[in-house]
Amino acid sequence: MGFFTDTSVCIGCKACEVACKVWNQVPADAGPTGSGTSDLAELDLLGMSYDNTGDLGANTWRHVAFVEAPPRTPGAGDVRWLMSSDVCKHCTHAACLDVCPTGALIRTEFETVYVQPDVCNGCGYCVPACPYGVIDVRPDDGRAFKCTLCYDRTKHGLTPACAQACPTESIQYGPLDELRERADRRLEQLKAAGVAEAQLYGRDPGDGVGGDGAFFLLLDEPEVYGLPPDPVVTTRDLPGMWKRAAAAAAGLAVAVAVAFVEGRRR
Amino acid sequence: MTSGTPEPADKSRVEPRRKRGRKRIKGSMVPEAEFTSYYGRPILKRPTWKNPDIPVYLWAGGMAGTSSVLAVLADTTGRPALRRGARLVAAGGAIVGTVALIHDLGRPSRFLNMLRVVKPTSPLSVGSWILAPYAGLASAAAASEITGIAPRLGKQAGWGAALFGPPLASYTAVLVSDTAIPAWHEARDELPVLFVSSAAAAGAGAGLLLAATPENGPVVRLGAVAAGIELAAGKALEKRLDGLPGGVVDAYRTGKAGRWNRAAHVLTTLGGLGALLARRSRAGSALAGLALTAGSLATRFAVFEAGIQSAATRSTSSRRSASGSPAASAPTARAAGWRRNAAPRRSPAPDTCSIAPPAPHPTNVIRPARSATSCPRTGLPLQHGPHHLAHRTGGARSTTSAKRSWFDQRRTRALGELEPCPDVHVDHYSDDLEPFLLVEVGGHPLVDLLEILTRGSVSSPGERLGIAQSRLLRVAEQAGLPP
Repeated sequence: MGFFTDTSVCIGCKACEVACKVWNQVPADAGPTGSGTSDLAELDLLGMSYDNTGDLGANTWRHVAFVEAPPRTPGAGDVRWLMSSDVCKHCTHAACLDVCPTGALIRTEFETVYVQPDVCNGCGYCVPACPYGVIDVRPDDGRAFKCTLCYDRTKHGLTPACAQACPTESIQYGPLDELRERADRRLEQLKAAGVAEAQLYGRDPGDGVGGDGAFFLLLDEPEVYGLPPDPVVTTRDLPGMWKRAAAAAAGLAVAVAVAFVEGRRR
Repeated sequence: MTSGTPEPADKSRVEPRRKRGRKRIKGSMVPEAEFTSYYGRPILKRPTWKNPDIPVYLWAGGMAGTSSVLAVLADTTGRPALRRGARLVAAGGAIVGTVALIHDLGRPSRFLNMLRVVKPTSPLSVGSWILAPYAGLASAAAASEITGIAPRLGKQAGWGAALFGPPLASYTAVLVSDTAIPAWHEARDELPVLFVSSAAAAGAGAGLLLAATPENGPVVRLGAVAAGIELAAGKALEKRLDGLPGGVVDAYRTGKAGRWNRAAHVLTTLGGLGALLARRSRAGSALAGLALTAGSLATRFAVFEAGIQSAATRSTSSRRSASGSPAASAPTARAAGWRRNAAPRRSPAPDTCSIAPPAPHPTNVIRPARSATSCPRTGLPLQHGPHHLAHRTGGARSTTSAKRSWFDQRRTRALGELEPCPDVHVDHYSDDLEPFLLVEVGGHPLVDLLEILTRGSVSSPGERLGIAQSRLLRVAEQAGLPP
């Protein structure tokens, strides 16, 4: 099971952010500048946009990006408003899950990636491992948090809170193969309507993370939305790293031994 | 750039900070590189590892690991003072390292969770399993050394520690390079050599500091050679990163990391030379040893800070080729210029493809796909065959493991699948909604009843998606959209 987020129908209402916060009881976010203000007169907004969260993190599990891009063709209005509800990608090859030393991060029966809060000891290894910069540690709590894909809801056959709340069905929840077909059809439809720059992001199971459990239909390049263009799971290179480290360890032992052997001949 | 109210009138400021990274090379009409990002914000999260803790751990662990090997060899070659010093350093380093690691945890009281599983995909898990026995054995050897109790057991413990010492010194290189941070991940081939030579220099330095002159022959040689290798490995690392686009190497050359790096170079050079030149003088040896040890510490700080800087400064994952044509500034060409690599992709504007494909980005390159039939990110369903669906729906995973060999095997081993253990639950707030979901009314689960009552809003996901799709299509039709 997973998410398909069709950004072409996202209206930036942030109902997903709110529903996520309410259902999962996620604490308030410090805002894009970290001011942590709750004063309406001094809203912490990103750039000239309506974005008051900035990015995904321990306290923001759904993040609606507001991009004001220049128009594709001159004379097509002043600005293209691109809105996209970002979320943990629930990668097929999830680096956070791979590097977690306690086994707090697990893959659930829905093939989603879930942090067990009662196991996590806040080592923080998952934070630099995530190629999308999604998971983070709550400073006051010490443990790592991210989107659970509403594991508590899905376990009982419910739709995740964000997808349930989305008024335009921009966020769709369902079996991934079904969502992929739907996304392909939607992409064709958009292409046929002349939206040449529409593209699917994280849909391909052959990409660097084995495909995302939460994938997107974007109307511009991923970087514009703050997404890495071609993320690669860091543990793909791990066997080579272990080999080199083993060789280095052996080299160290030999070097120390050699230092002694020559010492005896003197 | 925080503003209380949006100012739509100011059209010139509406554009996101797309031009931020654009610099012109002298004598060139072409922007050197164009960064596109979401308001200039970094994609990667800043590592939450605490500052003195982790670099100090890297240093102490390396020094201890080398020292325990020194201790057994000093013992067998009859150098009691060196053995004594090395055993104490090994135990001290292990204890300092362990304390630093535990202090770094967000929940230090849960440090034992580190030994909850054995996971080869997690360098920190492997490291915990190296450090735990190492710290015990090294401490036992040191305790026997100090108290004189059970010297034979102490000796055996020393041998045990020497077995775990070199892995303790080298696994930390994997620890930092197994991340998405470019300055760490891209240096994965050089870091093991750098870390091990730094560990050897620190261990030899500690030996020089503690052992008397007649016994210090081995540590003099080890220190000098280790210092040389450490400097060479540092150079090789910078050379490797220098070839990468995106200025990854700057993380090691600028800011705090740059300062630590320069300090490390000076100290290591002085220590290595000093160890050779002043080997007959006790004070000179001690000073050289101090310099070597401090140089190793500075190296660890440099690598750590480089990673922090690398994560924070990278606001983009792509960089346009510097050899782009001047037409690249036109909007359509710019769109084509965002093609990120040479892998086959949809190209909506083939006439603008004179722009050289940008060099692949260090961390985020498309590696050649495992299946020859797959076409990365074309959106074409070339590889998502039944094997992937089987993979996704679980259960049938073993049937696909031959095809997706390494990952799936590791994943299954690495607790990738949910275990029905009692500690899996959602959170531990007292007002958890889970009990609510389990409440039964008149023998029926409340949620099921609600579902019947509020059909349409809470129905089965499949049904709901069907509704969603038809609704979507209807809306699009009615609006006569370019959807």
